Amino acid sequence: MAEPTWRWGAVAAGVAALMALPALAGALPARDSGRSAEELLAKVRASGTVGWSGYGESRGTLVLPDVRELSDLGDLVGGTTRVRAWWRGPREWRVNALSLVGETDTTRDRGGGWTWHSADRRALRLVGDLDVRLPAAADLLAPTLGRRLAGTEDVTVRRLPARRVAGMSAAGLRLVPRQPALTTVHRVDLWVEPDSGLPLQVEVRVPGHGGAEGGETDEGEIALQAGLLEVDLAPPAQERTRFSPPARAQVTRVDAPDLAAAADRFAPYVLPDELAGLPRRPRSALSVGGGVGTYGDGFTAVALVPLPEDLARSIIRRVDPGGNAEQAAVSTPLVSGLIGRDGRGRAFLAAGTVPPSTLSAALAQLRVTPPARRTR
Amino acid sequence: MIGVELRKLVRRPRTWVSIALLAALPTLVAVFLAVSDVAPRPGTGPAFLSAVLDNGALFPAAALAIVLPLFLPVAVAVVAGDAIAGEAQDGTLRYLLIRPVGRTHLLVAKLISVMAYTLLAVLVVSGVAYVVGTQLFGSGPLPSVSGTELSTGAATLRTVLAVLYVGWSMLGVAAVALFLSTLTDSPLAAALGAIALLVTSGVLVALEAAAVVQPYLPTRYWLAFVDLFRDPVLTRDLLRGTALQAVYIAVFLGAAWANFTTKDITS
Repeated sequence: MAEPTWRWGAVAAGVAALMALPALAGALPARDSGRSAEELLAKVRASGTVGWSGYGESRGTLVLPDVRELSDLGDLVGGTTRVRAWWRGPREWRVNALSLVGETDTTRDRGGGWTWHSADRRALRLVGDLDVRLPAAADLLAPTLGRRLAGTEDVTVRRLPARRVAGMSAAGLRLVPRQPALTTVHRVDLWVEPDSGLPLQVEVRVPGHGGAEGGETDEGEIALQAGLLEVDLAPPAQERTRFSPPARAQVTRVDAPDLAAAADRFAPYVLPDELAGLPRRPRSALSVGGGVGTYGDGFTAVALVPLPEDLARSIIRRVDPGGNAEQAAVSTPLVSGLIGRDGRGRAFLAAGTVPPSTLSAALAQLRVTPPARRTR
Repeated sequence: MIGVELRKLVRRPRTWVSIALLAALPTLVAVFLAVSDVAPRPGTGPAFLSAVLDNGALFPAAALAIVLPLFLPVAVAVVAGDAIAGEAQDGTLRYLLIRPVGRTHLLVAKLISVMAYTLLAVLVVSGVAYVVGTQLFGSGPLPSVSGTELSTGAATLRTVLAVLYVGWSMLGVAAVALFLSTLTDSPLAAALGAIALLVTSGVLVALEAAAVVQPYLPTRYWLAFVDLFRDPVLTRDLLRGTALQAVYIAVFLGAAWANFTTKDITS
């Protein structure tokens, strides 16, 4: 019986060699660049003009109720999103969110942007800029998300050991909020390409359930992560970031593509300068809207969105079918939302990366001092 | 020996009946679409089907997506599962091996015949789909999933690559069924074993909790042929799928060879 043994041995050795390949590739050591945390942070903030193209994935663990009006938000923060991106600069990029059999592509140019839905061959043209809109796949790209999170001043920053991301040695950075009680974000870990400062991987952590909950030693739990799996650090060709609708596609021009953008453009209220103790964020000088308010610094961010009555009722019914149609709350470890009414019975949505008690305080403030109407 | 097996494949009515049935399903779908003019709501139903009403040249890809989840792998598993076990069940395996033919040689001949069947099946399905699609829906410049238009040459090349990719994916199934076919004397058991593996893989691919093992599942990259119709082609999953199937083919053919060349033939 010597013969069968060597044959099976050969097959087993082949299988073992094949299975060891991924482990070997993953064990390649990462080289640390030796740059300081402050130097890296400055590079990350300036990395918007770094050209690159690549493939990435983002994954969220937040469960939102299935509300049609919030479009893809639930899938974005509660599942895995696969994207391909070509980036030439903040106003010249294309991000394709891939599904199994189709894709939703967003392109940005100097005049505005295009959104292409392959499933129903629909192209939406957006003219100009939007100050406020719902998050989209492009916002969860590791470089975009990392840059946005690194933009805040109200954090302490330190180095983490380097890690291999997308085949490169990436330097680690940890951002910890200075006022942890104000936000649900426990810490943000970034791994960046050390020469360009391009964030390659981002992990947003919330306080863990361990004994040291919220403390210095608490590593926290990942609520949202984004990373590039393949990246080419050369600016892509210009035609990669351009879009022109194909023949027989349905082309629509839109001013306000979602609920938040519509409220920002059309809501007629003067919102307070301070909400639940948080200051209102300044708006860009070119802003056309103003119906939505954003509040807080750094990781603490709250949006106050006035809702039309029918929309508010329809969302409340979906979130809380057995409730009283007056208010509804959604809470996840990272993001919470609360729909309620002001002193005159008008519906508002307050949502953000804050504890639910902050949102309750915000709506309590609106009940005491209801916003006045805007004069045009 | 190889010639004998190929001739046997072509002469068997079973070969042509199963391929005709494979081609009939997409044709039936096309006829219903053409008569009712109601495409599946975008985002539902098999890939590409909602775009087919506009452009019949896309129908080969849609037809592959229709037969890929179940029909095609079942047909391949049945044919490959029958390769050795069928001879054993008929009692002809011993007589085959009494002839001065090496066992490895016989296995290779069976393998090539199974490969020929697989390739024939995907070619006939897509060929019939092309004729049916362009006749019923007309043709135009093929749109890519990314909203660009592909030239006729590029579109043809991508469709051919999609057909080859699906064929290659099916060879993985064939290798598993062929291995099981050397283990048992029952062709039915071999085919069912391979199908059971595919069903298991299909369930795990859809399960987020099984993410750790997903890159190793045989069906994980099957639908990656859709990536050929993105612009530019997204090669990531296609390359992984091709490599993964190569590993399945190598491992299970190796196991089939190790088992069959040393097996006691009792029937």
